[in-house]
Amino acid sequence: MMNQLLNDEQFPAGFLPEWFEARHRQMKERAAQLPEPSRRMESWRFGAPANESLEGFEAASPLDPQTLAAIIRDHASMPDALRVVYANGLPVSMPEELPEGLSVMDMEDFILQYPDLARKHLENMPEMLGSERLAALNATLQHNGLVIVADREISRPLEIFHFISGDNVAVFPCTLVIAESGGRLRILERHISADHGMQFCGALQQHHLSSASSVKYALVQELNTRSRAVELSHITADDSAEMEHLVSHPGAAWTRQETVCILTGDGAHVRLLSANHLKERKQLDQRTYQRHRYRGASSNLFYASVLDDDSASVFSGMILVEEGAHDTSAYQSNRNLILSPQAETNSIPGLEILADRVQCSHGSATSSISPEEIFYLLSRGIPEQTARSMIARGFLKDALDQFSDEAIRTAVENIVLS
Amino acid sequence: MSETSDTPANDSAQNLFDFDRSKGNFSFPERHKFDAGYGLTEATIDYICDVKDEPDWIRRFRKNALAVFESKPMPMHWASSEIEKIDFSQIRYYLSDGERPKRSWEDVPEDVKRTFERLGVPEQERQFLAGVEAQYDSESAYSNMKEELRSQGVIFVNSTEGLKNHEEIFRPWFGKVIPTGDNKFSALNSAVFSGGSFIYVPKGVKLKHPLQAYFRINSENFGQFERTLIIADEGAELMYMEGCTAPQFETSTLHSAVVELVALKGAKIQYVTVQNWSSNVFNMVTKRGLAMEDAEIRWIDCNIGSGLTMKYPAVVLKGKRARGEVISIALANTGQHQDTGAKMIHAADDTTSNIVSKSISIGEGRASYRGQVVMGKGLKGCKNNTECDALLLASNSRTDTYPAITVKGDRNMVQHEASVSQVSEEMLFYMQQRGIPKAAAMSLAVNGFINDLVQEFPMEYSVELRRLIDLEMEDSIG
Repeated sequence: MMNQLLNDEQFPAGFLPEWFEARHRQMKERAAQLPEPSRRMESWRFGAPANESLEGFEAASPLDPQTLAAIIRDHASMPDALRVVYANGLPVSMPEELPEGLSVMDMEDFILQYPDLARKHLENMPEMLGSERLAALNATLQHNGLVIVADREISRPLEIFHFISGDNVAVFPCTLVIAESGGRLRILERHISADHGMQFCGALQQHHLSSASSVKYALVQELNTRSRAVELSHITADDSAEMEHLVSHPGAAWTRQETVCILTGDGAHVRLLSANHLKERKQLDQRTYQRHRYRGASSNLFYASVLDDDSASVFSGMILVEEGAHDTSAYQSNRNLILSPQAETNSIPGLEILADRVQCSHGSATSSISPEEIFYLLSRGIPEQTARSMIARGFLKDALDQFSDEAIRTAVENIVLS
Repeated sequence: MSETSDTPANDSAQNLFDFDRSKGNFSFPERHKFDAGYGLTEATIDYICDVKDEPDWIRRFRKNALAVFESKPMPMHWASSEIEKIDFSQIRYYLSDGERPKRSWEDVPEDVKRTFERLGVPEQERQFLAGVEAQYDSESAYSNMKEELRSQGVIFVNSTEGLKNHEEIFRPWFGKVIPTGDNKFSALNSAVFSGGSFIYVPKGVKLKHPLQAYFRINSENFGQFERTLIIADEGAELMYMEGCTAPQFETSTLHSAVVELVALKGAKIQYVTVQNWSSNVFNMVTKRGLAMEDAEIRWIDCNIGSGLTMKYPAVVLKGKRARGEVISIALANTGQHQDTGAKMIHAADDTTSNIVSKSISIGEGRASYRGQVVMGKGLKGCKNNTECDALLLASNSRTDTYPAITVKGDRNMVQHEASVSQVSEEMLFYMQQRGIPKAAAMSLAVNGFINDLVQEFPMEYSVELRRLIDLEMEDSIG
């Protein structure tokens, strides 16, 4: 099964540095050796780990130019955005002219052009929250990944498209964002099913923020309702770095999201946001980890979900304030609005605090629309169905509004709230 | 304390902490007529059954539980790794002097009497209690209840008597709220249980005064496995209080109790625990209540001491409009891990539950809240409120929160909130500036933190509680 997915003949053996080839071999072994996730694991409590199985999927093949052209035509970009397009896991279009201070390239070029930087950011495998096996699998295909490096403020936003096309195909998008000191970036990444085939998307995004850098990143997963998605994110933020991370999953039958953020410097600030409207039989399983390793940093999580029909969600969040990480402030809030008698939510907010002078809290609330709210809108002539959807949209807006970049927020809202 | 104790101005702080530190830390020579020896086998169970002269069905129940205990793994995937240190083969499972519980205080053996006198047990009874049961190692040493209650049909006996003499009342509920296979420690208790209280309050009887039990481990390497079953019949009301102590031994001791509460229609049960185990006691207790229509169960729980406590009082809200509440205070000092919490299982419409948990970590102590709230499919009008507040008193103290909340359907409401705080420098400065020594200021701040919960405890317990907390805080402030 593994070999079908790996397309090993495509790996450019003998061409990339030895450490990367060794890493490739190591990841391949890991992917083969690590056990399948099971519900007995604490990291999969309330989850449905069988969905992470890749049984029956094969590597996606490249698309023919006409199909690709049609797909691209159907998906408009944000205004003024620098556009990167991947189809079935392979780069098909890169922005031609880049502003000063910004590099956008595929992983192979990055490793060859900046071997030291590449080694620094890739050598250690990032921490995951239960999908270690899938992350290793993704890493074996990382040579096709996308790398974005900025060392100053980049005024134009970037928009990354990953189109997936075909039936029973698996794609492993990989994005590495490096914000050097003073680098400021805004990115929208979209994972999109281009047809109705059964697809699997196993994505990994890594964000490395050096001191005084800023990244505003939004990910929208738009797979079709037969497909499954695993979205893994890993963020490290150094002194005074600022990260805004927004994720939304309007697509896929089943989604697992793992977001790890590690605060390693004084004054680092990370904001983690998510807004989802789950319908039909959709299942969303989100796991987050806010790990404070150094004093004086702050993190703030706000995840909101609206659950309709037979949908189900799991939110499991952990805040860890390590020994010595004094003067930390860390917050976590999970809100669920249930609109149907069949919907189900599971919330596992967690705190582990080993330091002093810490301001920490978490909150989790689940409720439904109160009759008063509906009555208020009905009495103003708004039909019930519209009233309910207005309240649901308002509920998600609370999370979306905290994302400060207007252009990206508007683009996300157009997809998520439509 | 040490930095301030040399000045006369700190007398008030001294007085505040002027409390007999060794209150529970004494033991008397062991003189056991019955000793099941170390380790646990079928022979141990036969020994216990023979000594207690139990009917066959209990023997079968115990042996079945032993098999379940042996087949269950330790819950290593989530629990503290400390529990691996429990060596089940080094524990004595049954110790007793073979005497029947005494009805009159004068008949209690002198040293046992001194133990409980020191803990203030009979004194409390004389003052206001409706009944007392005092357990010394495996068996109760003293058991008495006011005549007035006996005539109303209230039953307050130990587990052996309850199952032998009142089988028709207790057997239908025995092991039903917490089945043998619920967890490894409930299976262990079901295999070797001894002592504990079996209480039945008849329809409509409302006890004005609380019933009390006192549990005392007096022997080294001894495991105490009391079993408590309280049944409040329709419309009945009672309050039950238990206190626990053990002296400090060289080797660790295990306390693994099972407490089952049954509140039938409209009944109310309040269960108050103040435990002050020494720091080498493993305290693994399973507590669960079943609340029928309009019934109310409240667990009021104060955990001080022990090396590791794992205790999550639960209420299964089985009847409409049933109400469950857990109010808990945990205090973890250096070398201690208080892993406590609550479980609320909503299984009927319009049920409500409330969890308020406050923990204080001192020195290198670790306090964890672990909880679960479940609202099943097709229910409406269920509400839960959970609040967890933690106070850290030193830079190396630790606190954790691990709740899990499951809600199905759109007609229920859950809210959970947790926060962590410290005693702020400004607050201490403000008080010190007004002449309050630092230790006393700290104590005031801590008492302020738990004040609204302490008020839920009966008066003499709340006084004791404050003193115990002050005592624990001594030497750890600076």
